[in-house]
Amino acid sequence: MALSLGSKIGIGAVVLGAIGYLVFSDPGEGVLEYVYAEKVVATPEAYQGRTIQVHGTVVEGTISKKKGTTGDYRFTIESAGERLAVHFTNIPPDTFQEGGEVVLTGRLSESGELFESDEMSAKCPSKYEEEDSVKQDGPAGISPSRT
Amino acid sequence: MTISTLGTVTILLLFLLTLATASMAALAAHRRSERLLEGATAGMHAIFGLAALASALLVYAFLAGDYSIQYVQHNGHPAMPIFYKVTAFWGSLDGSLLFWVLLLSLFSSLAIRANAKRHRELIPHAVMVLAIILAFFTALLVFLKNPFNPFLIADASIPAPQGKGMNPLLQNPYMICHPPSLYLGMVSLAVPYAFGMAAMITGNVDAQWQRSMRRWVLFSWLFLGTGLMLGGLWAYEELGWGGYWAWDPVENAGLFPWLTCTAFLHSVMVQERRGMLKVWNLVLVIASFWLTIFGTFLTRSGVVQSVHAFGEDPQLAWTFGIFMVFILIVSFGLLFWRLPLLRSRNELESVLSREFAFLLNNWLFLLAAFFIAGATIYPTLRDWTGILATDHEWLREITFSVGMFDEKDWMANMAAGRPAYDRITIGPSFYNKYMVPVGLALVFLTGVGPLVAWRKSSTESLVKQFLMPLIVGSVSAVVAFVAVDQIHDVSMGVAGTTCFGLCGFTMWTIIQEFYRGVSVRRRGRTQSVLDAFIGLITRARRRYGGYIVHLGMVLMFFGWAGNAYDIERKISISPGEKVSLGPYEIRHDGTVASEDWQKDMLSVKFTVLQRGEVVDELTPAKWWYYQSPDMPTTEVARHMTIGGDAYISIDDVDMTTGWTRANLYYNPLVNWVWLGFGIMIMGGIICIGTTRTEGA
Repeated sequence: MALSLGSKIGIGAVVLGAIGYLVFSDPGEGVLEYVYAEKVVATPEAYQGRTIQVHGTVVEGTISKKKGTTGDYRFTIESAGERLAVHFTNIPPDTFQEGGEVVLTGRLSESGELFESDEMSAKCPSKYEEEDSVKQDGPAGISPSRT
Repeated sequence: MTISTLGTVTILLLFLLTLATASMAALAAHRRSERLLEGATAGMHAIFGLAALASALLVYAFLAGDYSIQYVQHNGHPAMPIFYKVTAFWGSLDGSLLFWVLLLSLFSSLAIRANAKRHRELIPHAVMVLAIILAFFTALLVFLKNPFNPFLIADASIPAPQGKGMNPLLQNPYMICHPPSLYLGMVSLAVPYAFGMAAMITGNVDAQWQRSMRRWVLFSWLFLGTGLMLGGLWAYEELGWGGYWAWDPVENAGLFPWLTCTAFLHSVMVQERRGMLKVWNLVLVIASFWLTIFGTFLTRSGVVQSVHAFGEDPQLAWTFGIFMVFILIVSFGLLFWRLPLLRSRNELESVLSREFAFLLNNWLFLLAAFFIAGATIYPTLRDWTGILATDHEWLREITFSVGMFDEKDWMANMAAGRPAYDRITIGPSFYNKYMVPVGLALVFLTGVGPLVAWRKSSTESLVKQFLMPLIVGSVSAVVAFVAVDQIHDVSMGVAGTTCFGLCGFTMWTIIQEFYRGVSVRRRGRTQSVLDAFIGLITRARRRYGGYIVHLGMVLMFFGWAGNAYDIERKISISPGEKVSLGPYEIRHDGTVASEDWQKDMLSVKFTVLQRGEVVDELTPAKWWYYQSPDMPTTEVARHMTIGGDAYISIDDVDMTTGWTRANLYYNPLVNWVWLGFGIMIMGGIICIGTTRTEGA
């Protein structure tokens, strides 16, 4: 004896419903645009008013911490020669350092000149280093922690 | 001869041997020649021997500090403890591939030995498949990623090279166990795949081979799970952001084969009992293996944007890509060819049957696996499509109509001379949104599956089985709803309430099963409850081991439900001041600076108070390793209880005033996740010891 027609229709409806939900539901905050800093600098108006992720390299000598507050960092990130000022209000990960690459989640300020962020991923301690760095910095060099 | 040369020669020989073994096995299968088969089997054992030799050479290079080898120079350091010197062997890409080859050759060798008598007819084909997989990975070592590569001669002018050492964040006991555990799980999945292929080639597609492979899959499942959990524990204790899972592509890579393995372990029972789902089981074995290769591809080739920084490596990406397509074509080609042999002995009779519950469970696991895999690769696929669509009008139209890109934005960007589209990333909230309902449905099915009868359940038996669990589930949901409201002063979300309710429901079904089993055993016998309980488990290990796995899973979900009520506080605090954190008060009691032979340390003393009483003292710290002074590591401190963790990580400390900036977290029920996981592993180990004659 096989499955009754009613059961089959029921299963079909549930499966279709689930697929429909997946396709048509709003994916929400989880999906973010991911741009390099130079693009934000070039066309700030395109990114205002919503949360985005910005990728860049922390410029040497720009990190300043404000004492006595609950997490308050100011620094500049750079990509393709363009610079973007960042105000970061959280505890950065251990791998955050000058010259390191970061991905910041946040919003662009009204003026379009400052990126307000409270979420950062700096290059994480994964072990798979870039092969190039082996060739470039030779035996004695310390790689700028790409790990 | 230098170690570098010796090692390079060894892996070269290894590569030739894999090719020879594969050909010999193919020929043995074709001519049905015992002698050729013996040769191929010996070749397989010899492959393991050579892989072990190559690994030993690399470990020796680390121990001896042979920094003329690039890989050793990059990952080793004279001051590293000996333990880390050994584990540095698989610490980076090239060595991890060698480690992969070592494990795969070990498993192949063992599997061939163990099944030589039982599945004689499958052996030549299985040897061939395993040797081909080994040849692929060895080829990567030989042609792209030789861990024995020395520095070029030109570098000899530079003063004697020193080791750079392993990233301090990775010098942690969890990190020693986490990668090998994941590798063990992933690599061992090649064995069931090889035997599945062999079964299809020879046409011996009965349940026999799957029954033997069930234990392999269970083994893989145990190690994959352990690896994932150790990675989570490491992130929780080392990274200091208060969580343990962030849906990072690299974490996901270990998760999706685990999900398909879980599905297989369930559906293989349906095949044994009812002769159904034969094709499905093969699909799961293929999918599990393919996903391990896909996961390796994701983590090694740098195609995916991840916070784990992988160098982009197009060569490796292409090689893996071609291999993945090859596996798909061959596997599914064989499957189609053998479809007539794989017909079901029975049909599904009712939705109120265990078969159907298992089928649903399988759909959900597979859906989860491919959803997560899809979401992980989607940003990359979108990017590639975007590049193609820039040149091809028709593709552009398709991407607009399916909503991948927005036509207006695209045109505006083009007009302004900008790149036509922005990349996207998919973050944790996306995964959570879709995976939470799937997870809850799985908890429900965990309760339902074992209680409905095979073929068809009567209404009467359903009432008998589910009345109490339903009552208990409803009561837990209500109690949780009220209690959380009182403790946390937040109203309970739908997902949280449902999760607590479902945990209660499923928990009761498990208790009920154990209670009934124990009662039956004690009937007519004078036996203590404990004896009866142990007797029950040892008599039907597979069944009750399975229930213990389920119990662990329920406890993990209980822990995750607590996740919805965590507290996170960023504070700025001076010595003597107090702040509140959930049920606790945290007091700053000054700072301590110290040092040892590896690092400088700066700790802050925090006292944890509950209702005015001191319950614990926590000293989170910052450590500066001498080898990488620019990158201090954050050392987390936590006060663990069964109710939850108070968790502190410090960001910034002023040495003169003791002023500290820190993040405080209160993570309710988090330890139930680890506890539940431990129970799950215990259950898995009980299951793995099953004798083959025992039924489900």
